[in-house]
Amino acid sequence: MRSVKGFVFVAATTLSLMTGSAAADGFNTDVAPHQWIPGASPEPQKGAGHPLTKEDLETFLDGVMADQLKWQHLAGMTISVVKDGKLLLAKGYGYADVEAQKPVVAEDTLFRPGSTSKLFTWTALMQQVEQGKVDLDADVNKYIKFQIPEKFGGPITVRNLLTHTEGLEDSGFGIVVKKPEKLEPLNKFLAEHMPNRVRPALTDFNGGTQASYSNWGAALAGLIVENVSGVPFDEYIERNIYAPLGMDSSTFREPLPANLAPRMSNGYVFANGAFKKKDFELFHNIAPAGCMSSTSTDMAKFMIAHLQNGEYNGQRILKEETAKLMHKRSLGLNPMISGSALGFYETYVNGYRMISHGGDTGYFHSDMQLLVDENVGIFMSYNTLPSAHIPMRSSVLHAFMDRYFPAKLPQVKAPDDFKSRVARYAGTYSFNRHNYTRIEKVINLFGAVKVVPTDKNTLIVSFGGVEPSTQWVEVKPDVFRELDGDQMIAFAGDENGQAQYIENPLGVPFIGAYRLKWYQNPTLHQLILGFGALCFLIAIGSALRHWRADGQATDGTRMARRTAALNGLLNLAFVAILVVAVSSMEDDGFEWTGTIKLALTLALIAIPFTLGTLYFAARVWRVEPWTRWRRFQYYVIAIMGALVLWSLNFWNLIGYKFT
Amino acid sequence: MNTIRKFLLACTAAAFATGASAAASDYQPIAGASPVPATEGVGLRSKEDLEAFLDGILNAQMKEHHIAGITVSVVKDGALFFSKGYGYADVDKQTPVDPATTLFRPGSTSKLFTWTAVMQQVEQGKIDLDADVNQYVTQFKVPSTFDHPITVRNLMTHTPGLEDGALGYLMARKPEDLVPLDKALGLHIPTRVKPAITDFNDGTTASYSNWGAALAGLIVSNVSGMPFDDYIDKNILQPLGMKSSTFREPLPAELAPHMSVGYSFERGVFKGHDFELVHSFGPAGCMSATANDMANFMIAHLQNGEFNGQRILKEETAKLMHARQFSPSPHVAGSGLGFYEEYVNGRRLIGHGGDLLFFHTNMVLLPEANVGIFVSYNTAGSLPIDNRGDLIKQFMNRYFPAKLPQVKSPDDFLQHVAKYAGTYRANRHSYTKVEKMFAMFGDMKVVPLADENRLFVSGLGAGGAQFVEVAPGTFRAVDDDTTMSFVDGPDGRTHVVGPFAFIAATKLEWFETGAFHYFIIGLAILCSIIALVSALRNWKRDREGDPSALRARRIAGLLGLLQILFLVGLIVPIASLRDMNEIVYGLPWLFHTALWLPLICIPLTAAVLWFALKAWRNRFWTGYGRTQFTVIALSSAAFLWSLNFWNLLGFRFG
Repeated sequence: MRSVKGFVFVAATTLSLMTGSAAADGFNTDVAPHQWIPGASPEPQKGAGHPLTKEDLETFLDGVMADQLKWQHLAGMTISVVKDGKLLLAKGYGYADVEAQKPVVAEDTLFRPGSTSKLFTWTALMQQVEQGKVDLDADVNKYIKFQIPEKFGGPITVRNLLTHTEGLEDSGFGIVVKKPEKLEPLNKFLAEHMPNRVRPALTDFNGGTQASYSNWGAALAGLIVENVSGVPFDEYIERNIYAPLGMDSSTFREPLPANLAPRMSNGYVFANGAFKKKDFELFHNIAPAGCMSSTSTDMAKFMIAHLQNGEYNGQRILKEETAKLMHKRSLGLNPMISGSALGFYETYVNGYRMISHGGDTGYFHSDMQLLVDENVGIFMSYNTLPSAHIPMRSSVLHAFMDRYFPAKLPQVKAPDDFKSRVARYAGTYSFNRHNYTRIEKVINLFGAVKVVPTDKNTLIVSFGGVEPSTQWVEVKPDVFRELDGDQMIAFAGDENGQAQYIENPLGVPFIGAYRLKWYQNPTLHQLILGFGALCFLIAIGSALRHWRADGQATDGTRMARRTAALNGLLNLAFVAILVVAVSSMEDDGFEWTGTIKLALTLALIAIPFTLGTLYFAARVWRVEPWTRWRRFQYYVIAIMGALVLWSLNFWNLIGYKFT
Repeated sequence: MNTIRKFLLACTAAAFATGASAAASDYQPIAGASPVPATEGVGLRSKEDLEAFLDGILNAQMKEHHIAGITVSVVKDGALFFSKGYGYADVDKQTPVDPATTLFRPGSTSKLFTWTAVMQQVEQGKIDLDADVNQYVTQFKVPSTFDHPITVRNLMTHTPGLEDGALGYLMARKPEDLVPLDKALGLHIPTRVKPAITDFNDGTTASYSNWGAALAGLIVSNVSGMPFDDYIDKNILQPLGMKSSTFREPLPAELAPHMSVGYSFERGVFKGHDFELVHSFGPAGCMSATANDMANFMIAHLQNGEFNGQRILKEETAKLMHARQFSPSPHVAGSGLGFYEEYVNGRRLIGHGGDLLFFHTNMVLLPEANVGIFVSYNTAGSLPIDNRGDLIKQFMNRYFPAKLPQVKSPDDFLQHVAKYAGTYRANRHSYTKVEKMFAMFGDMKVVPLADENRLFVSGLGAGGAQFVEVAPGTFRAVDDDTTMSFVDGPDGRTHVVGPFAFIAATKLEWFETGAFHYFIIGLAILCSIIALVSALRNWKRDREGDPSALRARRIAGLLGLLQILFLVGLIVPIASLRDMNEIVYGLPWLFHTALWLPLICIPLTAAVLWFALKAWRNRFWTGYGRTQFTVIALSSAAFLWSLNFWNLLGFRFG
């Protein structure tokens, strides 16, 4: 945490040196415009693209989707494209119900936009800003009944929520439920599942280093809307966004209203050579963060309204200046990479700026991209968990842009002297969107981001065992471009000559990565836990082999092997039960089961035995009843036991760290 | 080995019984299960429509699967309808693919030129389709392992019963390593492992053979008196005006600059590779050609031999070549002569795919609509291989759609599919050489699913596929028209035939399955470690005991060490290959050296077995110790048996 404090200090200093654009209350919301990099940024070839006509687009998309659906085993998808205030094309591909062979129909079939729903929440929030009921730079505690605790010397503001810079840890517990009865009112759920503040909320929106996506924060924004408007969130959206836009096939309600339920697409996974249907996902607990259901033609209306700065069909959902404020670049971690607007994040493809939001539920995968300067918008949603690590949405977007808004991509050469700077970037990082203070942190045991230099003076950034799809070339200090593409990442921060952060490692400003200390490196922990497990097995085997001999020992070592063995047994049982409990969970969220509590209890019971083993290690040292080899073996087992305990504690597995 | 010999005998008997070649039965669609072709809205539309559609498919494929470049041509009604290059022929120089000038490697699609040449000679009466191939080969003799000889027709339908082989000779790393065709063929005659079929309704022994196709090329050369490359130039490429095509390697100087680089995608970037050399077995797949040139060849075949006033085949010869000549089952795709069939959306396609390491190609003709497609990808990977098939499927879905009936298995499904359940292996592998070991991986498992009344088949594409029984013994995929049949072969085993006629799969006995051998090898590793550790741990103590017991433990330890070293020497060189496919160039020296180790293991294993007996007789150690030693001894014996099964005992190279 010390480095985080250091960062606040630096940020504050920078602020005081600023030109004076910083607000009096200590915020800098004056974000520098995005900068192109001559010789590296794509050069749009205006007029060189195919004319964006319905016929050409439809045939082209027919081809794209034919390929995607077939080889990625996707049951169905829906897409809408708007242009110049009108729906240009809406089309469904594949099946909404595979068994019943019910095709996806764009106008009729409801999909789950997931987090793309947040754009409705953000729009609602901006309506309240417009009405003067919400101040973007006010402490969010002003608008809610429970209180976020004071920490880091500054509040979380509404603007922090809109830019995911509130510094909250991530948490998925309790979000998804199996039965509608288990859903809770928004205020109650958010109060009971408050994540911890793990970083100071950003105050400098032009130079900060970390944004970290928060569903809880977005849901809180919805609660604020509910509180200041006095209207329940679902109803608020219906009255103030759906009704004016004529979105009659959209809802945030769960379960679905009876008139919409029959039109809902199934969600699918493809397993063992066939599509497996999944139940309607219930996550109304954090409704404003993503629980909408909608058709692609309804989403088209929302896109048109935003592209026209708030107006659709004579109706206004936002004043022009509010819409413009909302679309403006409002978070710039580095001027040369995409930042975010308010709620929307930026995507730059082929030299065009888009404001965007993707969304993922367990099975539905959606994206909305607005080419604000070209008055063109795309919404798409797939109803199947893809079987391969392929970014299908971005591949559609790039194929679309290359055809209708092409650009010349300058070839970039990796600087020959990059070797001298490689040490600044190489190393192991972690995405910052994870849990820090609870048992959920353990997911990160498998989540390292590795930055590895190549002999061609480029960098490979890889994570989660996924084959890297590109290499990164330094095009400006700390700024890197894809070797064969136009996506950019940047590094930031400095400690002993090493960069501390990666900005946009996933192409989205809302998730960054931070450099890990050696003792945080998942590989170290994997080694400790793996070798520890082996030692535990040896300890158990050794105790059993020597059971009789030990029973007759009179030199105080009688219980040495047995203590080590019991420690091993408890730890192994803990891991086994935990793994079984987690893997038997459905892939739609976490639930606190008695099994997990049992496992955690075993880990607690093991602690005295870990200490006991250390005690005996010291004792056999002094008493020397064993051969040197035996003693050595026992020391290793004792030390590994201690290291395992340390590692488990590091991952919040010691004690019941649920909330 | 015994089993194989027994089954070979059975097959010979079958050949006697059937006598002369039987005509292949017609394809029979299955009512209620086979797709029903649409009658309206059928056929290609405008060039613009096709272009936008292919742009969509191929751009998505390139982006998602990291393909550097693609070339494609589509012909219709005797003319080039559309052709286009996608991506790059040279990524570094940013040279785009041009369908008219950029050369790709069609790989095995080249075989269609060889088969066409054979048919030209058949037409001239110089080759008889049903004659013994030895009649046309002067340079060496194909052994008469079985009573019935291999005929030219067998070569054209991949039914000569030859084992597969490639290791160290099919491809060459350097031009100077290339060998003349007759010499290459004579040096590497594959073993005849199954009788050549005489009944062309029996597809159970089908096994794709590059050697067989190359032999056909040698026959053309022999009967025409011309080198094969010259023959193709004069009799096919020239009449068809295919000026940017050749079988020659290295490429003639005027074509070389137009050759696309072959790529692999590694660590996030495209890596270019040298021109692949296949000329030692040239007629099997060493062509280089442009998409536009290949269009001319497609037109010639779609017009039954005629292109632009020139004829490469008489009409009746072409029709004979395209007709169904080989029928593994009436409900699955079979083959013409050289061309293989696919049935997509209820329509018959004939064509041929092709793969080198870095190029993946497909040529498909839809004779009923006078339409043909050629596509070639210049990047390595399993995805481009899937892509080329998917492309045809998507093309058919758009322009020649069909209604696919929903199907359900009969209620008594589970009772009569039990006999199909089991593990199968594709026939196309080596039987008598060290490369047989690669057949250990990729077994196909057939598992009945009780809940769904479906057959789950793993090893077919990612994650496997589910099949529904649509006719007795014939199964269709749940959501597409992929169809296969289970057929009892003359060898007494069950086989899977279709959807690819040239490779059938054979049901395995339990002791032949990869899984069983994984178990033996895994057990051997474990026992080797235990034997080694046990010998070391008891090193001092053994000196005080029975000297026989000491010898027993130490010899077992040594055997364990050698077994581990052998596996390391086997696995390390293969695992350190960048691409498994590169194994085709030959096994690394370490592997060759490692093959000495199992030979040393033979006497040691015998000794350990003897000591195991002695341990019981002379009561070495504790009862537990003796049991452990016996397990180690038996495991080592089983390991030797497994090595022999995979031809890893001795130096069995092809």
